[in-house]
Formats: sequence, C-alpha cells, structure tokens
Amino acid sequence: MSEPDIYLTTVSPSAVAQAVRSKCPDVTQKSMQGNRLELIVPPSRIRDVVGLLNELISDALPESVFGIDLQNDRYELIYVFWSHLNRMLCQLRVSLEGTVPEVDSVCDIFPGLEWHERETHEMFGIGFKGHPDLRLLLLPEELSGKYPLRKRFKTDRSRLSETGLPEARPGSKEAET
Amino acid sequence: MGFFSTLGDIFRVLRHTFRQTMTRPFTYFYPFEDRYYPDTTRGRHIHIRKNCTACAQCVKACPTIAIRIDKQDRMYEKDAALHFDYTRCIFCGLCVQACKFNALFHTKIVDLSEETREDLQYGPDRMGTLERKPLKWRGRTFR
Amino acid sequence: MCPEIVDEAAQVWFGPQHVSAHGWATKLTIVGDYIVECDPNAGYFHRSAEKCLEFRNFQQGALIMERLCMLEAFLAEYPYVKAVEQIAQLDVPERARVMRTIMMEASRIHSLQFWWGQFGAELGLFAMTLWPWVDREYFLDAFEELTGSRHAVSYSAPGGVKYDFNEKSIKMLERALDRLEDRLPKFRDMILRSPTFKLRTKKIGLFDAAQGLKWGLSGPNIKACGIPMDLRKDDPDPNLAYEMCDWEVPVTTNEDHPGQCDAYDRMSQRFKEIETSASIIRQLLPQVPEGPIIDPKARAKANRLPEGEAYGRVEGTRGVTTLFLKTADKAQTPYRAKIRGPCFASYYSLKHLVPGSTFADFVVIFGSLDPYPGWWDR
Repeated sequence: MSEPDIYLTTVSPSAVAQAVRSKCPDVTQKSMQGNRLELIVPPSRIRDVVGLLNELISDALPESVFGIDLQNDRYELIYVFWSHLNRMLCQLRVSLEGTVPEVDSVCDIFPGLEWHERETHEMFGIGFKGHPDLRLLLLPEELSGKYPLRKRFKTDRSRLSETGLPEARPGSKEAET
Repeated sequence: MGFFSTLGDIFRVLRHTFRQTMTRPFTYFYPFEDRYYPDTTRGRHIHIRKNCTACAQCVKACPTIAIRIDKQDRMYEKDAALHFDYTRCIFCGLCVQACKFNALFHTKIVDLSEETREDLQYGPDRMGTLERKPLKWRGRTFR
Repeated sequence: MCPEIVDEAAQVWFGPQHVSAHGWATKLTIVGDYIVECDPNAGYFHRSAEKCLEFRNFQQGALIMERLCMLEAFLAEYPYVKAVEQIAQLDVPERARVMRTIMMEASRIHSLQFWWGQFGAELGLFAMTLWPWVDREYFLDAFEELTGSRHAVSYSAPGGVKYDFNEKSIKMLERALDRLEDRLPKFRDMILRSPTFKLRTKKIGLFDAAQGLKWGLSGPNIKACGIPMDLRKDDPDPNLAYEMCDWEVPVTTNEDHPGQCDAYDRMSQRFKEIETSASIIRQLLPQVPEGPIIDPKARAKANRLPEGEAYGRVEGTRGVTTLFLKTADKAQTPYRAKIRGPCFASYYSLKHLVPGSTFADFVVIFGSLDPYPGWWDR
C-alpha cells in the first residue's frame, strides 16, 4: 500500500513567495502573518502565478475566487488557495479597471474554480478569457447583464419606511447602505 | 422451522400487538394537550407597555422589518404602541435582547396559524395580552 | 464518440421534481443505461445572501448565515461571527469558547445523522432513514432547551454566545449522546457489513485525492481518501476550544484503491466523524469553566467596525466553510461578504465524477457527497 503521491513535497510560505517573485518580478508581496501569504498579482500574470502555485503546492485546494466592487469602475479579484500539507493560506489579489474588465481564466489549471469564475462573471461583469462556459449560474434570465453585486445595482429599500422611524439623514452612513 | 416454534412466534407477535393496543400512544393529543416547551422558547412576543420607553431599539434591531412603532399611541406616560407583522418575523430574538427595559419578551405560544394574512398582523391590543380567541371546531372548543 | 451513440443519446433532467433531487436539477445525457455527460445546474434556491448581508448589521448577519444551512446551524453562522470578531478584535470569554465548540460538534452530529438517514432513502433502504432521524430528535430537543429554537438557533454572537447552559440543557445533551452512543455502533455494523449495502456503494463514485482537491472538495470527502485534512487541527482557531481535548482526525483508507474513495468509504468516514464529535463533546462537557458568556462591551464594539478585512473559516460538516468580510471605516454593515460553501465544489464535481456511471448510481454518487443546496445557491 503506497502513500498518496500528493504527500511527497512540502514547501514553506516564504519559499513560495520567493519562487513566485523570481519567476514574475512584478508580483509584490503584501504581508505574511504566520501561515498566511498575500500576493498582489498584475492581471496579465495570473495564469503564470496560479500555474506556479499548482506546481509548487502539491495539494492546493482552490477555496474560492471572488470579486469586490471598489466603485468607480475598479474591481479587485481575490483567489484563495489552502494547502493542508504546508498549513498555508495563499491569497492572490488582482486589481482590475474598466467598465468590462477582463482577466485570464485559470479554470483549466484548477477545475474547481470554473464555477467560481462563472459566478463572478454574472455578479460583477468581470470577463474571464478562455473560460469554456460563461452561462448564468445562479441568476435568473432577467438579471442577465445587470450584475447585482456591483454597488451600482440598487435594491428596493421601500420597506424601511414601514418601521415608523424617521428616515436616515441623506449623506449619513445609514442612508448609503 | 417446526410447527411449535412458528406458533410461538405468532404468540409473541400477538402479545406485542395486544400490549401496544392497551398502552397510551406516544404522540400528544394535540390540541387537547401540548408538548413541553422550554422556558427559552422563542414564540410570539408580549409587549409590556408599562415598562416601555419608546426607545425603538427593537425596531432598529429587527432584521426583517417586522416591527412598526407608533409613538403617538400612548397608554402610559412615555410608552409607544408596537405592531408586529408575524408574516415577516423570523423569531430570531434580537428585539428581545435589544430591549433594556424588560418591556418585550418571547412567550411559549408558537401555534400562530390564522385563516387570513391580516390576522397575523398583531396590533397593540393583541401584543399586550396572551389571551386569544378560542378555537372552535365541530362544536368543540380548544385552547 | 461515434455518431450512432450520439443519435441514441437522450437528455434527462434529473430534478427539480424528483424526490431525491430535493429541488435542484441536473441535466444528464444518457446512452442506454450509462451517463455520458452531466451538467449540474445551480440557482434554484438562489436568494442572494451575499447582497442581503450587505444590508444587515453585524448582529443580524449571522441569522442569514444559519438559514443557509439549517442542518448545521451552529457551524454555518460561525464564520461570520469569527470574521466580525477578527475585525473588531473582540476577546471571547473562556466559557463561551468551550460552549461554542460543544454546540458546533453537536450540530455536526445532528447534520451527519440527518445525512445518513437521507442517504438510506436515496439508496432505497427506507427503514434506514428513520433510525438516525429518531436519535436526531433528541439533539433537536437539546438545541431547543438551550436556545429556544429547534433549527434556527442564532446562538453565537460577536464576542461570545447568547444563551447560557443550564442544568437541563446539559442533561438533554447528555441524553442525546447516550442514545447515540448506544445505537450508532449497532447501526454502523449492520449497515457497513451488509452485503447489499456493499454491492450498492463499493466502487461507485471513485475519485482520488489529488483529483478531488483540484475540484475543490474538502472535509469528509477528502478525509475518506486517507488525507487528514481538517481545519480544526490544521488552522487552530483561538476562539474555539479544540486544543482542550485529545482527539485525532479520522481518516478512511480504501484497501483496494489506496488514495481513492468510493461511496462506501465516504459513508464509513462519516460514521467515524460522528464518533469523533461525540468523543469531543464528552471530553469538553466536564471542562466548561465558570464565568461570563459574552464580553459585555461586545455589543457596542460590534455596532460600528473599523476598516478591515477578515477571512473566517471553519471546518463544517461538509468541508471548508469560509466567509470573507470586508468593511469600510465606521460602517454598520459589511462592504462585501463572500460565502464559500463546501457543497459548491461537491455539486460542481458531479460534472467530472458522474460520466461513465449508470443512471441508477447517480443518486448514490450525489448522495454520498453530502450535498446541501443552501451552500451552493446561497
């Protein structure tokens, strides 16, 4: 009986950071607390970095990919990987700009990210180049192209007036959210 | 399998059947009797208007906007009327925890079903008391 | 694929009306009795929980989380609470830490008990459904005694827990555990040694660990391959009390296919999970220290949070459950909350796992991954 082969290699977070930076010098390391590694990756290099992670970390678990709307057409994508063997949490941050931002898809390297990318596409309108299947995943047809998780998408707040409380002052924090 | 062992099996089954017939059912005779509810049960609320100070903390705490406050409707010096909409309430307990003046509590009453949607919108008169219309069905009265 | 076979292929929607589809739909392309293509469709229960969380304050957010998965309510609400605690830098009292851990393990047992009953129904062994569901009722009674609600418990709050243990709730929890420990070994032997059950589950839904990790599977589905991947041990949480007791991560190894797991291994793995959880509760119950259950300033501190980001993670019943929380400065509501449900990956992995198996095995593969639609639709 043999051990599963993903047990073979261990690698430390600092070694991963070093390897990534020697291959892609434009990647910057944000912080490293204990076992958490954060790398800021330019959008053009994401495929290289994820491919390198796949080679270095033999048991990388693709936890998630998600977007954040930073308003004014700026978006941030966060890729999270967890390695049980090295007890390492690796976050890759990608900043994007533009009304229809685009980034390379990594779902052929980590198939588990395919649906996460599909969801990010329908919720934020971020395009993934090379993704095989960018249909709607969770949303109904009538919300196609509306990108509901963008801050610009306004929800119905009419029920708040039913409480009998005075309305929040315009411009206050409560009125914004 | 012999004749007598089969007979023995039949008798054992019969004995079990008769014993079960004679014992009381395991289920509760609802609505004649109700199951046990612990003291912490988060059922419908009761509003004690004597303690209420109209601070509206319960309204702000409510995640589903199920509570409406009417500050004009006063019974005591500084209280307010609460209207609860039990079609929206999720019984999370945040309003009870938010109340600093012991004016709002959960009760053990959880059978809230009504005939119409409007009946589930409890006004201040129903929020202040636990009494409710007795349920009449086929000439018998429950509750 | 040769053209004659494609001509024969039929497309079948499995669900959403099918009973063991529980309301979600998977498009299967079938040739004869074999599935050649599987296209899982998510979104039938989508309630936009992430957008809803942006409009709820930090006390109310946990309520949405627990409603995503009612079976593991204590575990489901924890990542949110944990993320809020990280940003607000709240200290959790010792008593609350232990109580949380106990209730989270009880919730894991409850969820797994529900699952293997349901798995029995999916296999067609209907008697098997009701055995664990009876034991589960005792856990629900204990939850009700403690929190006042059977399913939507809303137990953890930022900085502690909301309801304190009393004598009766501990007694009811122990009664539930007694009953579980009495009955579970019998059921386990009865089921896992049954030739019928083995025929139905052995070598079905076989995948190896490296593949499963690539698809994003975690939790018992990976532990069944022999890899002790468990966040309770790997990423120790200072707000939980797993280090106070002595336990090992349970793993299952398949003798015929080392490093792989089939539906039978996943079943036996989940029995081991129940036993581990029960032993953790047994060890922690006498160790509950005296003291406050919630930091008295926590409510005020969690009202407005400083700017920050946090990543709350917990080992859920079905795998890695995480929540990413980003807050703006002095905000009452999150700026962005991202929920990562473990079943998002298990539902996706059907696309790779199912083709090649027979139509009758589809339910077995699907059921053995412990799917719960709330986690992928959110």
